[in-house]
Amino acid sequence: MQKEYLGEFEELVLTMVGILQEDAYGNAIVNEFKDRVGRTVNLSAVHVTLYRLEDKGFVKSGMGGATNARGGRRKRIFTITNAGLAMLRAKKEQQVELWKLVPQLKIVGG
Amino acid sequence: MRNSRTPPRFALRFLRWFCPEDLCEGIEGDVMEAFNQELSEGERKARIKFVVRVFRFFRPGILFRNRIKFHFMNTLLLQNYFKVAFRNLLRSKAYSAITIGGLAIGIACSLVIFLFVYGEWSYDKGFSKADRIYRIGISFFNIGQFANGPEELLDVLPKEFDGVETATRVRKERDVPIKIKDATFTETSVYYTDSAYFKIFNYTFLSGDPNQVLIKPNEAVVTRKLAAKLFGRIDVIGEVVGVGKKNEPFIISGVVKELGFNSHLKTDIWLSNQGFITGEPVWSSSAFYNYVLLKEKNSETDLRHALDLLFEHHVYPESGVPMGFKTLEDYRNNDMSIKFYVHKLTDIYLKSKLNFEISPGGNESNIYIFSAVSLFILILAAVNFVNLTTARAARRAKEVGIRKAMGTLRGKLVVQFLLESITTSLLSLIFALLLAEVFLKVFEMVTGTLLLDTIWRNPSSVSLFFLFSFIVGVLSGLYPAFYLTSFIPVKVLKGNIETGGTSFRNFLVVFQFTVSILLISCALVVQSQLHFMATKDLGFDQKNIITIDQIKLLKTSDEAFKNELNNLPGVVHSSFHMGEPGSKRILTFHAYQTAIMEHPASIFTYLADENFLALNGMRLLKGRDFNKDMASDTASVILNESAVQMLEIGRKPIGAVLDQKLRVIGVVSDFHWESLRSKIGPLAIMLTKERAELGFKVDAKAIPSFLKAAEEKWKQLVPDEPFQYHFVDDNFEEMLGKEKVFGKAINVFTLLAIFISCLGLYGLSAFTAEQRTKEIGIRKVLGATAAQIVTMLNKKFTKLVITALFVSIPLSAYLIQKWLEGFAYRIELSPEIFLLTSISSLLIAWLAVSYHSVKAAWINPSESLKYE
Repeated sequence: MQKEYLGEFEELVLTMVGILQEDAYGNAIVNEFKDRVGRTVNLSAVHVTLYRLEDKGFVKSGMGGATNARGGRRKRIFTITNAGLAMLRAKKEQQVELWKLVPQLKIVGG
Repeated sequence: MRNSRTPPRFALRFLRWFCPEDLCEGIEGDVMEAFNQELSEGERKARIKFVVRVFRFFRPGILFRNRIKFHFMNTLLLQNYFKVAFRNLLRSKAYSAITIGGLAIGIACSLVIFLFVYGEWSYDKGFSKADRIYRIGISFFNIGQFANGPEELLDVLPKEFDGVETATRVRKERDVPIKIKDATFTETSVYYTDSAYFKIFNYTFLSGDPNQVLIKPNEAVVTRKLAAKLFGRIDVIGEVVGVGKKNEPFIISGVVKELGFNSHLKTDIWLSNQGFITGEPVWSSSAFYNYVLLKEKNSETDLRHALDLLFEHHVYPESGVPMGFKTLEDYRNNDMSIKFYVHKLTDIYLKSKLNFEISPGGNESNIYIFSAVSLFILILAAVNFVNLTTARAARRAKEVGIRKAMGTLRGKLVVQFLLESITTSLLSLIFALLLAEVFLKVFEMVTGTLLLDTIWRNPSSVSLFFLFSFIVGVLSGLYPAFYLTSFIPVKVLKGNIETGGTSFRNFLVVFQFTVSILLISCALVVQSQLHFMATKDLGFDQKNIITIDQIKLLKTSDEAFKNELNNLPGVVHSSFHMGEPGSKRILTFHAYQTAIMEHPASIFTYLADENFLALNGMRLLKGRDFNKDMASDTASVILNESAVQMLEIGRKPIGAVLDQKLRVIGVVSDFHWESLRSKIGPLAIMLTKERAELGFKVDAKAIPSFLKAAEEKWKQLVPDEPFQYHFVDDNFEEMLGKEKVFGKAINVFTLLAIFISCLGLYGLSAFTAEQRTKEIGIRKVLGATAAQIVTMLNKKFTKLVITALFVSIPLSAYLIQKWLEGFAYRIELSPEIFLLTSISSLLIAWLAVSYHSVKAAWINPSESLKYE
């Protein structure tokens, strides 16, 4: 059923956008990665991924507020689209389905 | 609160430079935010990290988002320029048609002339050693300068001058039959030469060894083309061809590719020349074309010096002394002595004007004249563009004003207008390429030579012309661009537009008409000179004389042949002869010397029987004609007036004794026996039993039946030989041929120039009429008649044309005089020609402007004034 392929990193970024809601912009996502997954990611990689997701139609973007810390520059806020949500849901269900097929109590050795 | 600790500026600038504009703010914000977070870890570290982070954004995922946008920005502007350009072209279709049409004609004309000039100029330049190859011609006994020279020269020169790397003799034979098995072909040109030929001229050998061919007697080299024609294949090594009447066998030992460039060496077959080598040490001969290849260290000066030495050490003792010359200087300065003429290989085609060139040469002055004229025609077309654009500047003034008010820089506007003119000229090029196909046909019609069957045969020149028309576009657009962008927005937008530049436009119109009028008068003079030459009394009656060639083939039956034809109806006179007026088929010179002359003078001589004067209707001034019953007449000679003058026997020519044995018995009045370009030269007629040609004077009506009967008789006597004849007046027609080509070319150029100038004038008159519509309306209301208005409108242009007349008439008089000086017999430059030129150019100009003037004059004032 997958029309669009979603990479692992793309999926994570998309999920972060979903989590952060109105506050999903490049730096916030980098920090969220560090906090929740414990993974240090590159800002530029996040940006490129966000733009790619936007091309695919899973997120959309608009300009948000500016802060002093940003030198007066506005944030580019990303929000997850319905297509993005559907995509995440489908991914999760697929993983669950697949997970069910793995024998849970495997005794190794013996 | 501003944080004083800012990230490195250069990194930010770099980010802005490569980053797509719409993404830039978000990215910049993010990196700044990260920087501010990291400041707590130390400023230095933060700055380094900032730079690293910025550089990590320099990646395809970001950069590629740039491309589309970047492109979009530029094309937007360009698109707008082109849109405006096309709108303008379409808005005034008539004006666009005039400029584009004119430019197309100009470009097409120069394209064709370029092809012609390039072709003429490129002769022999393709040989790799071209700059070291020289041909040595000769003159002797004052009978003319010949492109070919003595056999002896190449025996002696390489021994005396070590600068000669190698040298070759070429003998050319015309219309040679080539037999293979049972088929016979006729080759128009056959070269007899030696093995050095292919060392000097580099041909590509398809088979055979270039160093081994033509060494043995009876070897042949053919081109691929001829091999295919003779045998239908190209692997013909070892095949035998029978050459000439004697069917002499030659074995083919090499096949070469045809030259890929123009060359004055035009043949498809080379044969060993051993059969023609006599080994006789004769200097006064012109049997071979002598080509030498100099060593790289030697120059033309060395060769000339070597020839001077050779003259001193060989020619003078071997040729001058036997003629009775006492000193070297005496001999050197005498007309009768031997002189050498050195021509560089690449100069032969255009510059060498000797007799008996191996192939007809080109005309250098035509090249200069044609290219100059086609350049002028192109300029005329560009002038139309400049004039019509600047004249109609008012239409663009508002656009310029608004663009300027909106902040466009003048430079940008100049670029815009240049782009417009380039668009126009590139559009013209498209039409020009189509037109060029037509012009190629016209060129073929005029000159009789085919340049190219289609322009696309030479794609490199077409691409060159794209560049060319681009340049034409820029040059013709420069003035209008600067003129149009010079408007001051405030004035223009207020509504008072002054279209100035009138005087410059007038100057250009005068220039156009100066060129056109110049061409008109030249064309008129050339035509009348040609007419003069075609109809001039030649001093004898050249009409209806038929000459039958190759009488020697009849052997002993020639007398019977003549007698039989004499009985045919309409035959008036007949005469055996060698040589006739206007013909250089047979050249005979005799050296004549009176008792008081120090050295003999050589005079062109016709050998003929006693009926020659009657046949040609030549007028005897003094003395008598030959009489076959007087035995002494075999030692008599008849001279023309110039010969009498030359021999200084003017007081009492009859009875004068030449060479101690020849008696002058008659003097004929001077008649033209050469081209009308040169003065009538001295000529002698001697009685002879030799028979080479047979002339008949036949009534005009009886000519067809005579020719038919003569051919039948000929076929009876010598069935294997072709019956060949010509008319004496055709000799003179032929000599006029080249002049006629020039005449036709000038006519075509004149028509083009007039057409383009009139197009421009037509456009300008339309513009003036349009501009003055209201004025004309008011004038009509106040009682002016249509005729008055037409005169008023035409007056301005008439003035310009008259100015042009004043400029061009002295100029053309000078040029025409220069051209006419090339003819010994020429028309007088009469005022009528210039009167005719003036009237016709005024008429043409009036025709061009009157359409719009009359139209404007006929408009009902209520129409033209209804919007006031």
